[in-house]
Amino acid sequence: MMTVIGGCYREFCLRPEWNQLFGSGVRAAAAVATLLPSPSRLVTRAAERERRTLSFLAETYGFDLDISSRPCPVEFQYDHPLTPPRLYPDRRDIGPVPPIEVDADCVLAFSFMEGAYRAAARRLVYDPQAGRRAIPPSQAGVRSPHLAIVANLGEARTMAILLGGDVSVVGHPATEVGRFLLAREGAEVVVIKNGVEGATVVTAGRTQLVPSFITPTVFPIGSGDIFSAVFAALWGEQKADPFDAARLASAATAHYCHTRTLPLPLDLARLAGEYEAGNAGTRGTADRPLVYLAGPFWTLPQVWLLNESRRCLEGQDLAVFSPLHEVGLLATNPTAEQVKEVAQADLSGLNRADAVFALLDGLDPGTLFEVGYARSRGTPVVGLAEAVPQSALTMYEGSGCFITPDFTTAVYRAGWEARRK
Amino acid sequence: MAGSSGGGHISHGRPTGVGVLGDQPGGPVGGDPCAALIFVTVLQSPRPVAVAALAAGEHLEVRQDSGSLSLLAFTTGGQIVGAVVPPDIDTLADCLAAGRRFVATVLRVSGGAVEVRVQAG
Repeated sequence: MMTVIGGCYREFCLRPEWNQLFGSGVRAAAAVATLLPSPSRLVTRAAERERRTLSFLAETYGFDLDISSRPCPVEFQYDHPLTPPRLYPDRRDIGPVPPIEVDADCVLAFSFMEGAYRAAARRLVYDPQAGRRAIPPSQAGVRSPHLAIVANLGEARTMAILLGGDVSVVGHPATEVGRFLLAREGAEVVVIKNGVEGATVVTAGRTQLVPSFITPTVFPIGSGDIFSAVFAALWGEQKADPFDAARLASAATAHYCHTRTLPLPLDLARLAGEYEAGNAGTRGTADRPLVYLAGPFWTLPQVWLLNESRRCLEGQDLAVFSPLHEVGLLATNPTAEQVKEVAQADLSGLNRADAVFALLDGLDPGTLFEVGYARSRGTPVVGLAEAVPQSALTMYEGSGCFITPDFTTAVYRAGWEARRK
Repeated sequence: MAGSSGGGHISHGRPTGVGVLGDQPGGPVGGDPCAALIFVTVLQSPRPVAVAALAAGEHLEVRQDSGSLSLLAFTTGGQIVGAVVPPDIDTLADCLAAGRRFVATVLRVSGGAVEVRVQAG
């Protein structure tokens, strides 16, 4: 039986609409219900008034519960999944919680927002799930003779710094950071996730990149939980090869990001095969692809969305050409020469772009021109259209633009389109 | 507000309502907490055969699984489509126990997933 140690938190998101009591612990325990012969055991903390919902979730998905108390519920609020979440209440106001001690055969250990724990296991998968607060397993109170570390690149770099890695190590790509953690923590395997770039699996004798898979929609809240849950079920509980486990974990993550349904399908190998057959492939990371950010910038909401888009696209390791930021505004009563200069500077950016990210709400004339220009050159276009009538989308959809009402899906898609071979 | 965690929250006004009792500005509709319970969710543990026959706009009935806490969505023919996981079980379970009927309207079927809006029928 696999034991999952992890949080139970309310997740609330404005776009897309999402309001569930999940958190890493609950989501992971729910995810693997079909993959293991016996129900997993979730060791978590919950407030008194959350227990009924938690019991409901355990029965619906099929896992056992071991609940410690905490003084109040804890909630993560997102405007959209790519915003840093707001935590309620503040971490300092959650109050004291009783300690948790686990000794089990196979453990998947996440971090809690509230309080620490100690865990010992014969096989243990550690996922800090803590961003810049990530701490390495040796400092987190977990120990195992067969240890795997699963973390995103930022967390892996944070842990490497805490372990004394110098800038020359932590500034290197995932492979170097993974090797450093492997050696310093005595781990058998380190998996470093890096968004659309995929995951780098590092063992003592081999390093391999496992791709992420392109999906029609992307809901990334909790996607890391799914990856770790499947990896732990396969490598930890079933002692599978770590590279096979990571491949199937990546497919399961894609499935969840697209469907938001749990538990996961039983036949992950078939799922992975389907995703691999449908993946057109993406370029490596030697060059940073350029995305042209097309959108109006006349009102505060428009400028906010433009800035948010730029931040999120850069977060996908993309270079962004934004006319507002790169070229600037036209002067009041511009001369013909000034108008030409601005237009030529924008077109120069478009000519160099690997993809266009277009904010279509409001159907701004400049944006529509940029989309048409890009498509005439064969440049991929990803359009965000939350409130555009279907009848106005004919030329975009008909000319091969990828149009979506979901901001996060659009950002991920732009990353994939810009990296297509 | 939804998932209230002991105060200090921002109140989100949400016209379509994914939340639970008291989420909407002005509070429950006519003081009826069951009528105010409207949320959008994706059916869990979807049954592929039943999902394949579904289309947007269809209505499913939400019922408690016999002898269990789980909530299931059924077609008019009595076929299970998947499990309903509300934002907060308390209000929905109490309303169902009081004999109120809830309907899940299919909003979208994509990649084997079914997005529904659940409200009192």
